[in-house]
Amino acid sequence: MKMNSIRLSLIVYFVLLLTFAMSAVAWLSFRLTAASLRDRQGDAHDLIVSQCDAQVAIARAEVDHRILRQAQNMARSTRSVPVHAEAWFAVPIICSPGLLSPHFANAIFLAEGLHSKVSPFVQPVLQPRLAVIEDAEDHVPFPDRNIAQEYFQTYNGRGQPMQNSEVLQPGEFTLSERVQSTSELLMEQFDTIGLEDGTRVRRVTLMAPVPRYNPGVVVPWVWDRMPPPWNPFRIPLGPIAKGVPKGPSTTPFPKGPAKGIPPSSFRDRWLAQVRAPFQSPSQVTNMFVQYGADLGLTDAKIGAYETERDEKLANLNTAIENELGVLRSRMIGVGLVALVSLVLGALGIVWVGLSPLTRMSEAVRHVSPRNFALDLDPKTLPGELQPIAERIAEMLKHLQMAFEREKQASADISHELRTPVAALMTTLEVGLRKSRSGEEYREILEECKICGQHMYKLVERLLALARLDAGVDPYRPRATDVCDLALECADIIRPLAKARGLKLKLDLPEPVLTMTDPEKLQEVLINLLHNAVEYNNDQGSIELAMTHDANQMHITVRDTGIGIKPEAMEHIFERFYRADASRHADMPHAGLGLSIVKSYVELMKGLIRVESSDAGTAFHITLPIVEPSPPRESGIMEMARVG
Amino acid sequence: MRVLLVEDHKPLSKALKRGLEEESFAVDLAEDGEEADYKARSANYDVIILDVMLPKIDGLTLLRQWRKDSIQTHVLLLTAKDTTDDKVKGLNIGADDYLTKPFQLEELLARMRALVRRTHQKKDPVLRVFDLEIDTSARTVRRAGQMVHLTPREFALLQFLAFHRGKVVTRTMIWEHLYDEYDENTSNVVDVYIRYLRTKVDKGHEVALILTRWGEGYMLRGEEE
Repeated sequence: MKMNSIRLSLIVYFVLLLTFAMSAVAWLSFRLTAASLRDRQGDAHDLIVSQCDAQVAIARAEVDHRILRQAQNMARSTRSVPVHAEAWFAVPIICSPGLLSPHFANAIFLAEGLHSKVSPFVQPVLQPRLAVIEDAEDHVPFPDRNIAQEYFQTYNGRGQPMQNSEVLQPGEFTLSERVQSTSELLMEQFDTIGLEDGTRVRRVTLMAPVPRYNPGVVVPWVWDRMPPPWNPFRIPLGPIAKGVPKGPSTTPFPKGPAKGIPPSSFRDRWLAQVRAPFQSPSQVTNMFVQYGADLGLTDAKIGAYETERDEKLANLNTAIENELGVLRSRMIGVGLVALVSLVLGALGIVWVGLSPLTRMSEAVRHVSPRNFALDLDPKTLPGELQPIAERIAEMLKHLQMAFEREKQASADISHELRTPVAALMTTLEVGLRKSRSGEEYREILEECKICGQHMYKLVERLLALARLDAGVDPYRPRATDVCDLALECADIIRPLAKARGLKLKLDLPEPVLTMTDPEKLQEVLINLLHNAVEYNNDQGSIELAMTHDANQMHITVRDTGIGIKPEAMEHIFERFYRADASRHADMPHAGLGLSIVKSYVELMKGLIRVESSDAGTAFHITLPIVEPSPPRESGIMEMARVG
Repeated sequence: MRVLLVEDHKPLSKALKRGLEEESFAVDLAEDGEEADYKARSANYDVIILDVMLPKIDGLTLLRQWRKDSIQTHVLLLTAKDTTDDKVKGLNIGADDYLTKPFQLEELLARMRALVRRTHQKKDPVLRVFDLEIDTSARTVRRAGQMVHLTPREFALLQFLAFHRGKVVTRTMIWEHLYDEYDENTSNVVDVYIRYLRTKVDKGHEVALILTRWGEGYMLRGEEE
């Protein structure tokens, strides 16, 4: 697009700049807001995920806690059972004397607690007791079998299965080797296993010490069956907790897998209870309890949690995307509104900013040849335009002056030309109105001649200027004695000076021969001398002086006149300029003389300058001295050139 | 009629003065603005012929000044400026007429006579007093149909009396209006011309038109007398 209008281009650039800046700002703020939204989204995401994780962990911990409690309950329910007579019966039958090693005894009785520290031979005598859980199924509290199927299995210290849930298939709840081989007291160990029917089961394995009941006497079976307090050997077991205790628990609900239960508390309490009647820890033997629960419901719960989490996350993502979309459209809307208002603002600012220019162009438009005044006060303009307006005003002033001078000049010329014509015609008319004497006719003819001379001089000057302008008045240098020429001019002027009572002083050195145009130089000198006569004071003097050096000569024409006013000094060489607006004397003057003088001096490659004070005016002319070549030589050269 | 001719171009002023004097005008000359101002303020002219471009003070400035100072003398501007603007400007300042150079002498004379008539509020160029007819434009005089030959000065005197018909004009008035600044003022020169006029105008007629008011001056007989 071509930008012809400052206004248009300013607006366009302005709008482009603003659009760019606003786009950048909008883009940046959108990015920042989007980033913070994403951060928030991430935080919310983490929160949701961790909430879900916590719920899952709690669900798992609930299972772990429950099965641990159950296992602990079972372990607490263990006790030694004396080997009854019917059992004793079998011992001699099955065992040969050679095989009465403790290991065999253990294998045969499937019992727990016949340890190697007791002599195999003594053992049958000591009526060892087996650690069994009486009514094991009863110790497994299933408060609601709809919630989860639960399983148990117990092993003796040697890792041989002792009791199990009926629903368990053989080999489903195996005791790992690591558990068997450890010599430490294991508290609990959690794992997840799969059953043959595909059920996932959470399982805890607990190693429990079993007290060995060794009173040193054979307790009759019946007594042995007696419950305490009638049977002092019977260990009071306390109530068996049924299921997960309701209400506040003595131990805090574990936060994670059963680790949370301080193992020492239960063990110490239990050990203290168990050991109390026996005094010796060596009499304690171990058993393993495994307890498991079906994870189906827990998994379903966890699945629900995860589904909920995924829903929440999806909602979160949707919300964030919606929010970003709203943000984007708001940004675009705000941007558009801002852009429109900025464009309007730009229009206003440009309009206001350019109004001084408009005012100036309006003022300039009103300038015409009839009215040069610039209708504008530069002080009301901004600083940048003030110099322009001032320059324009100044130029217009100059132009107006030139116009007026030209007008004045044409009036001058018409006056100068018409007045002698009028004089000539009037003289002739008056002369012809009646018959006159020869003397009178002669007088009239003399007057006519004077009129003619005036007209001739004026026409000559106008023609001289016209020739100068047209460049058809060439510089014709000739070998000239300037001193001689000056004397001639002085002779011409002397009578005029004398008529006005002026003294003419000459200060001319010996002859100076130079190549110059004598006619033009004479015209220059005569003109200056004429002025000196004309503008001199009565009884004044005129001085024509000349000096020279090897290269230049200086001619000075000085008068003792009224001088030139300083404001006129720069104009005096201008054509048609006259220091005095009204006219002077009876010589034709259209303000052309000095203009011709300057043109001629410049044509002669010289300089002219003027000095003036109220004591008089001096014109200084400097002309180059050019040695004239001897005429003969030039003649020969011309001949040579022709030849 | 006495005229102030303000013109700085000597050949023109000389020729004009000669021409005007031969038409029975008394002509005073001024060559620059200052002189013109002085003369216009010191004497009572019938018409001032004023050149516009003058040394010292230009014509238009002079005219403006005069009009401001209530000098009501008729002014004919004589100028080389011939544009309408210049003419309008001159007339607006207070000039009564405007003539551009070069001009025909006859035209100048006709305009001047018109100005003189305007001075005396007469539109008819022929002044009639009983059986005396004075044609101011053709400069002829008839008494009872008979042509009377008068010299320019006699004609000027009769015309002056006719313009002031029925009123006494003093010798000074006659002097001021019929003689220029260089004429020698001898006591009886007016009386001599009056005698000449009476000889040429009244002699042989029943009614004497040129009356003498002793101790005052002369007058041309008015309607009631």
